[in-house]
Amino acid sequence: MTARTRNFAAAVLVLLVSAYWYVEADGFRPLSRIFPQVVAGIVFVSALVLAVLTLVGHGPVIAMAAGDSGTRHMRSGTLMGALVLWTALVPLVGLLAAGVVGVIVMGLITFRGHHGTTRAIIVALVSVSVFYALFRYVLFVPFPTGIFG
Amino acid sequence: MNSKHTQVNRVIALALTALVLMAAGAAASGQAEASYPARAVSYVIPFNPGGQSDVTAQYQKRYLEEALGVNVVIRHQPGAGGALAWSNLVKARPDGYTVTGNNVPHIIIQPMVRDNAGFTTEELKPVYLFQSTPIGLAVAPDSPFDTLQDLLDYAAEHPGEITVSGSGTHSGHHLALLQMQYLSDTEFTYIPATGAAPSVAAFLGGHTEALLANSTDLLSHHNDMKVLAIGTEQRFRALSDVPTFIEEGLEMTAGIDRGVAVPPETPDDIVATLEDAFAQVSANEEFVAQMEELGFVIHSIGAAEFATYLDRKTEEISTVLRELGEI
Amino acid sequence: MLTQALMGVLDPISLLLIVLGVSAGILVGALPGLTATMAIALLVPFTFGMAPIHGLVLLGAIYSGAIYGGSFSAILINTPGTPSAIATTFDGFPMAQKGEAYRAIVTATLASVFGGVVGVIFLIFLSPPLARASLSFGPPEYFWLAAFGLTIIAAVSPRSTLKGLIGGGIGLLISTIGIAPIEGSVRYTFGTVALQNGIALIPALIGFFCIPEVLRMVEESHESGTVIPYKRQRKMVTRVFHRLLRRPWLMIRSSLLGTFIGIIPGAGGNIAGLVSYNEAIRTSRNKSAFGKGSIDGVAASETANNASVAGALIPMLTLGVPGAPPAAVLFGALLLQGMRPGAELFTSHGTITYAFLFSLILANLAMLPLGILLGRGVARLMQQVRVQTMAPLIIFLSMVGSYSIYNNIADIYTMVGVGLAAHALRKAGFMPGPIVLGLILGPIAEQGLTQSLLMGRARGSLTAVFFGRPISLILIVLTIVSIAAPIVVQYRERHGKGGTLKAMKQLTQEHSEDSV
Repeated sequence: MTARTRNFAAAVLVLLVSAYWYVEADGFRPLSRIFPQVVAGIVFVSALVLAVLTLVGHGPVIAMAAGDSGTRHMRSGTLMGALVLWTALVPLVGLLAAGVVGVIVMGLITFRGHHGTTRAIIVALVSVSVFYALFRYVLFVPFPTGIFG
Repeated sequence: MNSKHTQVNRVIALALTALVLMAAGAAASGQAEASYPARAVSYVIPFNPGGQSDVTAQYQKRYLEEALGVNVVIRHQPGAGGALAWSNLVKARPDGYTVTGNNVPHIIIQPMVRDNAGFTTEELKPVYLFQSTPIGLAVAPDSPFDTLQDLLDYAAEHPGEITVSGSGTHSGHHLALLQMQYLSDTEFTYIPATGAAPSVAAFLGGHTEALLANSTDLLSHHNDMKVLAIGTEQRFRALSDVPTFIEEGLEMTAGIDRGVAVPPETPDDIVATLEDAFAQVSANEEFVAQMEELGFVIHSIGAAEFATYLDRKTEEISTVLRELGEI
Repeated sequence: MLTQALMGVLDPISLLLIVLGVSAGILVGALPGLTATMAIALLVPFTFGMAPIHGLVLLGAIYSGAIYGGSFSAILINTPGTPSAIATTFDGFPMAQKGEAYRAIVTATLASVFGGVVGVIFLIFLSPPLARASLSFGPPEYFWLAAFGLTIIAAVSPRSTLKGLIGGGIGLLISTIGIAPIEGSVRYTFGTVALQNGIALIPALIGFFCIPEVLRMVEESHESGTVIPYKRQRKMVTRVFHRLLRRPWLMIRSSLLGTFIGIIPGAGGNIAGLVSYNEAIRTSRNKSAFGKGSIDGVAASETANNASVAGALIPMLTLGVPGAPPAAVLFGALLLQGMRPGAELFTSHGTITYAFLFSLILANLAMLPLGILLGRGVARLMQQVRVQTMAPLIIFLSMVGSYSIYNNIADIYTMVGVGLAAHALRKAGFMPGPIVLGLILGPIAEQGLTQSLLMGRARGSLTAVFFGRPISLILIVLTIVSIAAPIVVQYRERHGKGGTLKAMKQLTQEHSEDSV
C-alpha cells in the first residue's frame, strides 16, 4: 500500500465513522446529542479536507519503514492474530493459563534463531507467575479462572 | 537448522509441563467446600472509593469478619451509575461469596429509564438494608429565600430560572427534584454533576442557586449554606432545626438507602447467614455511633422487609416518572 | 502545635512508613493499570488500625510515590504507568531509545522532587485562599479549560496538524460512548451492557500506548534482541541537576501550573502534565527538539504532575471537595479516622494535619535516593532483557492491569481492541497523543458545554454565561494565543521564502525520520 492510498483509506474510514456518529445521535435527547454531533461535524469536515488534499497530491506524507516488506507484514499479522487468540482464551481457561500459552506462542513467533530463546521464555514464565501471585494473593484481585475455577 | 528445532521442541515441552502443573493445582483447589462461609467473601461497592457506600463498608468490614469468621475483601466496581456492578452481580455465581452494595433508588430507576440496564430490580436478591442518607435542599447563606415556600413561590412565577445542582441524571437527587416539581407544580433547572463532590463545589462557587445533597454532605458544609428542607419523615437529628418536606407541605421523603444484595439464585440459608452477620454489625453500638457522627441514619431491615420496601418504592417512583413523562 | 507536628513526623515509625510508602507507590505507579487511586483504596483498611498520623503519612507517601512511579514505564516502555505520566512518554521514551533511559529517569526524579516540594509549600501556606479561588471554576470555565487543553494537539502532533486534529476528534467521539452525563441517553453502545460505562480510560490508555509498542518491538527486533540500549555515563545526577538549573523558569512555571491545575476539582495530574508540556514547547526557542527526546519535555511533565498532588489536596483538606480521584480516596480515609475535612482540620486536628503536610515534603525528598537507585537498577536490567521476555510479559501485565482496575473482564477486551486499532491508526499516521488528549478532555468539555447551556437557559443569556466571566475570558485569550502563536511563527519563518501554497503544504507535511 502506498502512503497515498493509506491516507485516502484512513480519510474515507473517518468520514464514515463521523457520519454514523452524527446520524445515530438523532435518537438521543437534545442535551445528550449536541456534543457528539458538533464534534462529528468537525471531524467530518477535517476528514474531507484530508481526502481532498490527498487526491490533489498535497496530503501528509507517511514515511515507509525500511523493512516494510511482505515478511514484516506477515509477522505483524501473526502477532495480532496470536494476541486475539490469547484474549479469547482468558474467559475460557483463566488469566494465568492463557498467559502461559500466550507467552510461549509469542516467544515462538519472535523466535528467529537467537541464542537463549528458551532462557528468555523461562524468565518470562517465571515473571508472569510472580506478577500473577502478587495481584492474586497480595492485592486480592479475583482473576477469572475459566474451567480451572 | 537443527539447533532451531531442538529449541522449539524444548519450548513446547516446557509449555505442556506448565499446563499440566496448573491443571493439577486447579484440581486440588476445586475440592468440595465445607459449610458457608469457607473462604473470603467479596464485598463489591458499585461506586468509587471515598463515597458513602465505601465509607460504610470500610467500617463494617471488621465487624463482618468477626461475625462471618472469614476475610471480607472490599472491591470497587464503579461505572454507569452502579449498573456495571449490578449487571455483573446477576451473572455471578450464587454461592454467597459475592455480595454487592444495593442502592435505592438507583436499582429501581435504571431499569425503568434504560432499554437494557443489564439487570432488573427483582434479579438483585436483597439481603439487608443498613443505612440511608436523607436528601436535603439548600441555598446560599445570603440567598433571599429563607423557607422552602419562598423558593417554591419564586419558582412558580419564574419557571426554570432557579438552577439546582445535584449528583447524576436519573439518580436519587434527580428524583427528589422531580418529585418536588411534581408536587408543587413548579419548574427548576436541574444541573447534574458526576458525583456529589463536584455538585457541592458548583453550588459553593455560586454557579447554581440551590443544591440537593446527602445528609453527610449537608452536615460537612452546613456553615456555608441554609438548608431549607430535608427528606426524612421525622426531623433529622443531626440538623434538628431544619424542617422536613412534609412539614413544608410537600408529601414526600427523599433519600438514598444502602444495603446489600446477592445473585438471583442464591440459596435461602446463605442469605440468612449474611443477613444475620449484617444484623450483628448494625446492632453494634460502636458502629452506630461512628456512622451517626458522619450524618448517616442507621437501619436494621432484613431480607423480607427489604423486598417489601423495594416493591413499595418501585410503585411510588414509577408513578412520578410516568406523570412527568420521563418514561 | 507546629513543633508537635514536626515531632510526629520525625518519629522512627513515621520515617519508616514514608520510605515504605514511597517505594510501594513507585512500584504501583510503574505498573500500567495500577493507579494511585487504587493503591490508596487498597491500603485504607490497613491504616484503619494505625494511629491517625501514621495512616495518613503512609497514604500521602503512596500517593506521591505512585504519581512519580508512572514515569518509569512511560520512559522505559512508552506506556504511562498512571494517566498523569502521559506527557512524560512524549520525550521520555525517545530518550530511552537513544540509550538515555537512566538520564530520563534522573530528570524525572529531580523534576518530581522539585514540583512536589513546591506544591506542598503552597499547600501549607496558601491553602484557604487557593481553595476559595478553585470554587470560581464553574461549568463555563471547565468548557474553556477543555478548549484550551485541546490546543495541545498542535504540540503533540508535529508531523501533521490536520491529522492531529482528526485524531483529537476521534478521541472526543470515543469519549461520548456510554450514558450521557446530561439527560442520560444511552449512546453508541450497540445494545451492549458492557459499553454503558463508555470506554474505560485506563484500559484504553494501556491499549493505545502498550500494544502498538509491543507489536513494533517484535517487528523491529534485530539480532541483539534487547528492548532498549543503555549508555553508561558518570555523575549523571550532578549533570542533570546542572542542566535543570539552567532552566529555572521552566521548573518554576511547571510547578506553578501543576499546583494550580491540581487545585481545580476534576482536572488532575494528566492535564497538569500535558498543559505544562505544551507551555514548555510554546516558550522554547528550540521547538523541534521536543518529541525526539528532549530533557525539558520530561522535566516539564514530571514537575507539573507531582506538583498537582499537593494541589489536589488543597480543596480537599480546606473545603472537603477533592480535586482528583486519589484525593477523594484520601478524603474517605480522613472520614474513617473521624477527621472531617474543613476548617477544623487545621485547628482542632491541627497537629495531625500539619504533621501530614510535613510528611509530604519528606516523602518527596525520599523519592530522590529511592528513585535514583531504582532507576539505575531498572535501566541496567532493561538492557539485558530480551524482546522474547519483554513483549509477552508487557502484554500479560497489560491484561492484568486492565482487569484489576474494576475486576471487569470486558476491560481486557477494550484494551486489546483499542490496542489493535491504535496500531492500525499509527500505520496511517495518527499518533496516540492527540487521540488520548481527546479522550481525557471529552467528558470535561461536554459537561462544561451542556451545563453552561442549562445555566444560560435559566439566566436568559448564553453570551453572558460563555463570554461574560473573568476566568473564562482569560482562558479564551489563552486558547486564541495558543492557536495563533504557531501560525504566526510559521508565517514569519516562511514569509519571503515561498508562496502561501508552499506554506500550506508544509503545514500538513509530515517530517518523519523514522518509520510509521
